[in-house]
Amino acid sequence: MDTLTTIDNLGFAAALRHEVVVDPASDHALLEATRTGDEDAFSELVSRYRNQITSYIYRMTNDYDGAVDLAQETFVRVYRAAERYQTTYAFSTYIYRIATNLAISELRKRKRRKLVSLTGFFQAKDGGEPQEFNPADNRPLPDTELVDAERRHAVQRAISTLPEKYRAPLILRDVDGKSYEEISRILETSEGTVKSRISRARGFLREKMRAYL
Amino acid sequence: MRNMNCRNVRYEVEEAAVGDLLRSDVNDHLSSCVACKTFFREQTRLQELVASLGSVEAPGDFDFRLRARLAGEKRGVAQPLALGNFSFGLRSAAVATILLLIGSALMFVSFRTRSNTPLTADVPKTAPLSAPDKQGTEPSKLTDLRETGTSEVASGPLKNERNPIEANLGSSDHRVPKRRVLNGELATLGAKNRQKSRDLSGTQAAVLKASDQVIDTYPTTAFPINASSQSLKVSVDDGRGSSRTISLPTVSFGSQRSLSQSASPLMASARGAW
Repeated sequence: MDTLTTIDNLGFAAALRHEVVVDPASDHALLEATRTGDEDAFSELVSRYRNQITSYIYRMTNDYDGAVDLAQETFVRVYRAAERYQTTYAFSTYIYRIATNLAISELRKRKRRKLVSLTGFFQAKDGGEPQEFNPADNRPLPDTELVDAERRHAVQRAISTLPEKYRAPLILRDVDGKSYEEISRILETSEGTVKSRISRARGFLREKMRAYL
Repeated sequence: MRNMNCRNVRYEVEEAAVGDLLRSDVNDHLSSCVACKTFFREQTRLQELVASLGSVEAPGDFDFRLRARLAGEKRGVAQPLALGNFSFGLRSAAVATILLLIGSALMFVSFRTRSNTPLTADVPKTAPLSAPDKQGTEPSKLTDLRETGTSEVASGPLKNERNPIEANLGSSDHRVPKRRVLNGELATLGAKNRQKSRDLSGTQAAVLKASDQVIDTYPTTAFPINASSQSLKVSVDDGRGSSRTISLPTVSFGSQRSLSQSASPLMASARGAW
């Protein structure tokens, strides 16, 4: 008991417990089981990553419904390519790479389509930053909540104006908390490039968000 | 040790995540440099703002929709294989049916055309013997003419004499189906105004085209054949039951010298034929 207490004090027990409870089987093992037709293993993989992937794609595209669709497409591709999956990198790297590619493809498609959105109608004539259509909400809100909501909205809007090559590393780093090494694997670029792009992205954001800093 | 100037300090600040402890030399620089301290403060605030976005959750029916989608994918994968095999047969059957229908339609149209058009369109130039054979040509004469071996030259004028059927029918505006002609009714037509001749050569009619010039230049009784080495006999039926046999000098087609350019306009056609 004393020993356990000591371990608890050192923080190892929590880590062990975390590993045992949250990750009973590694992602690779689950994908291996998926390959053999184990649907439950695949369900486990989905439950592990569905929120992360949906959130990541949502931050990239700023469109929740589209993000859900793309997240599903990500899992479909994982399932389809389970036979060809190689355990060279972590599964999270693999699935984030698929999600990134899908998100960037979607962003490029949107550029080509030049979608006319409500945002476009409220764009400044001088080509400035588009103003979102934001109808008045008459519900009473506490000031702090209102301010926070407005700030988050501004951040998301500012991120959505970043070029895609800066957007992805910034979100992966500052929202999802990935390491530079993992980001470089996901984006298939060097770490130096990742750091440079993140720095540029923050520079852009700093200019756009100066009022909130 | 790295020189902690503003640039290096900002690089360190950039790399650090929110909550990371900075090195002591960086902290020392930040405490003494206002600009870098401002940069650090803004940087930290910006990262906190971005991190405050947090994560959104997938909808509750995410798994259900994904399962449905995967099931659709499986069906989509399976169906093309099944349909692929099946549709291939279907496609083949459809193509065969279409080809059969097109072929039948073409045959029908061709048959109708042959039935409705005058005999002129029916008489193939390459098969000049078919009609005369049915028209009661005397086999002996036919044989004689075939044996002359002068098919090409003879066929030129004789084409014109085969085509009198066409001329007769055309002039009297008769449109007689070939079947009727072949059934013997041509004899009735010919009885009216028939100056029949028969192409009794057994050769192709390639030269006949070129001999139109001859036909225009010479009447049907003219046979521009000379310098021949073999005899040629042409039997001409006047349509009234009597026939006349014309003997022509033999002609050799092996050499152009047999045809005098000045004497015979067949020279041009001969050039083309040979």
